[in-house]
Amino acid sequence: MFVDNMALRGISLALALIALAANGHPFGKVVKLFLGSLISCVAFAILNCLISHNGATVLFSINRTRFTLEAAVFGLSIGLMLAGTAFWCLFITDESSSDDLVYLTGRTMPKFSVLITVTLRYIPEIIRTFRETFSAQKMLGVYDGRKFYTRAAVASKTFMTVVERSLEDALETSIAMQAKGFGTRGRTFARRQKWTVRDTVVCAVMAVAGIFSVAGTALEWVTFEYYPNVILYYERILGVLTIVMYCVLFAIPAAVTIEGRLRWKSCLSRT
Amino acid sequence: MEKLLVENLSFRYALGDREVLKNASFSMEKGGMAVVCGASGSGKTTLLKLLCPAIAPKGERTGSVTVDGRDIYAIPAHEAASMVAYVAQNPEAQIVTDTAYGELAFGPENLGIKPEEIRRRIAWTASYFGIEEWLDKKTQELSGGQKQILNLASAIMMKPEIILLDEPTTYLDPVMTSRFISMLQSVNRELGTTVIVAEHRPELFAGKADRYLTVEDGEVRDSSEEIVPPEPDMFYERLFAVNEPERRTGKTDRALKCTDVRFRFRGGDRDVLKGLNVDIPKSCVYALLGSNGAGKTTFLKCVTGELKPYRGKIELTGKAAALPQNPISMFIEETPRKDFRNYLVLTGCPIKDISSRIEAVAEKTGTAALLDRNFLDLSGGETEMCAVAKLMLTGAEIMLLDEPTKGLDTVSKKRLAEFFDDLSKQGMTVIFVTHDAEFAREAATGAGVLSGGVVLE
Repeated sequence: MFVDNMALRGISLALALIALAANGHPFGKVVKLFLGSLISCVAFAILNCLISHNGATVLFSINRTRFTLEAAVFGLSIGLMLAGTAFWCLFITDESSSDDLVYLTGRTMPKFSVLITVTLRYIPEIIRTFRETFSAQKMLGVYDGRKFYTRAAVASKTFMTVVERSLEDALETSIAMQAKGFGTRGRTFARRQKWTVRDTVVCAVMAVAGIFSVAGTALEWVTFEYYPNVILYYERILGVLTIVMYCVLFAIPAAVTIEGRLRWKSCLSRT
Repeated sequence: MEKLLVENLSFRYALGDREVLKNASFSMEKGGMAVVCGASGSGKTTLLKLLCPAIAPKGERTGSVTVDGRDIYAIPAHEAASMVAYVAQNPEAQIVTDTAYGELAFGPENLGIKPEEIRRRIAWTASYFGIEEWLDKKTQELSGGQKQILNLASAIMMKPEIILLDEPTTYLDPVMTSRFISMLQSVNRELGTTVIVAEHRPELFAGKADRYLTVEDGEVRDSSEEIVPPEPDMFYERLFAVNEPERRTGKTDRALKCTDVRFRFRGGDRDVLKGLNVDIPKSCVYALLGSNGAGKTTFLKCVTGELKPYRGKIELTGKAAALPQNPISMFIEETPRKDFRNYLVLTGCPIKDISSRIEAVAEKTGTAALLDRNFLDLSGGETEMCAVAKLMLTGAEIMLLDEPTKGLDTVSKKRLAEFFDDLSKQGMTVIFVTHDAEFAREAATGAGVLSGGVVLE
């Protein structure tokens, strides 16, 4: 995803879309996401052509300013990276809950998991309070007909006030934590999730594929040059293996999701 | 032997100049339920916190608190935490984690209880309180009442012998209050947990509590003989009595007229307001009641223009301003004076008029003494009055208030009702939506119930 390689970024984007489709997003929505990503790629390609004039292949020139294929490809690559990142974030939001995150840290770092869960409660709460206060100020007419900087100043003052008040509320939360014995002795951790052999296997495969992908790009077994000419270079064995491992790494979420859906369907068909 | 014995308990805050509690002495049998009453600032919260060492305030304490004959302050902290549980007033602020399941597990996890035992306790507690269906929910998705039930359930998860509750129903609507008190009674009777609850409406516990203690100027006395249970009364008859012609005499001009107002949030949703008609005269104090989700707040938002009905007509004869459920959201400065000044500057009031306008509004609303105090130091009632003062600064002739009695004690409610009456005499119209039928009866000169998307009078 963050690898400076257009081919790998393209693979990441395609697998993210497959994962989203496998996760139950309607086909139409996935197509819309794909078209949206294409538009953003084209926009970045145009933008980069306007900014950067490097590259050997001149597409056209206006007033002695060159617009090159390489600059367009570089912009396209940035678009792929941003769209891929956004889609993977969407997938993670859909697929995992805060409970999963707390579970992953709870056994090894119980106090850190408390910090996560408190933060996960605090952020939406502060957003809700900000919206409420902002809406009340708007209703009072403080934003009506004001200049942009005045509105921005009032909004920022509103935010600061909300943060101050939330800290006051945090005192009450800390009293509740103390009343519930926080910090009196070693914490245990009770969640419903269970770590299975299957989790260990998937994590091991992801670790191997991840390490190989990082090593392959760091040691330049696979490289992508944008300037002066667009070139994809890969070593015969290690390069191909890096690309395969990269594909495996990003295909795992889709594979696990599809496997779960197939199993669910097969269970339903038996009843 | 007594479960809890408090003997000659006196307390002075670390920076305080007077004793907040003076030689308080009382005892509780196992499985008893006591209600601690008293005015705001009388020392109820301090008394409760002193019974729970984990949250006891810092200061000079004399006297003793014993549970089963053991000094509570000499018991190891984790043992004391599981012995005495505490539920505070504000349901929002005392929730620690982001999911209901995590919140139930939080206390026992802190005590180092084994995960299997915690899971068993959660299963039992969820089933006992009937909250299984929201175990996976985010705590922010729960209503205020559900949050307070969750707080009670998470206190019970610690298997306490004594549970202390500080005005737990203040932020709840009457329906939720009644449900919460029934649950508390079950905890007391069925689990044998000793309950001590501070409450400014002790009559709510009539027939449920064994004894009543009153805190007055730091002194605690038994007042069980003084509590009179409320008399049964026909709810809707009392409510609609406010619409009797003699209370509406001389009010012929119109402040708000809604004709066939229809509103829905999204195209496919059902209508929240289904051809709503209401006609509210000028200088009237109008109460609109209704259950949760009936559309009361939606109605107010349609009147203020925040939401647009897809059909119907709303006619306002005068400037309207609305007070949201949480009045503190009206302010972004530290003190009312600063906030009012900032607001008037922003809205283009001439500098020379600012002070006089603030003073005039403060005098009308009785908030002159509060102008230079920090909002964080104001009570719910005082904040509410400052918010009303700010609404008056907008020059509004029609005031719309969303649940104005939420979080107010009896005294503040009475003051608010008197103030509404004053406003009405000055020619202003007050329209408020509420769950609080008692307050509506007290304050309103006109009332309706929003049900099925229409207003019935």
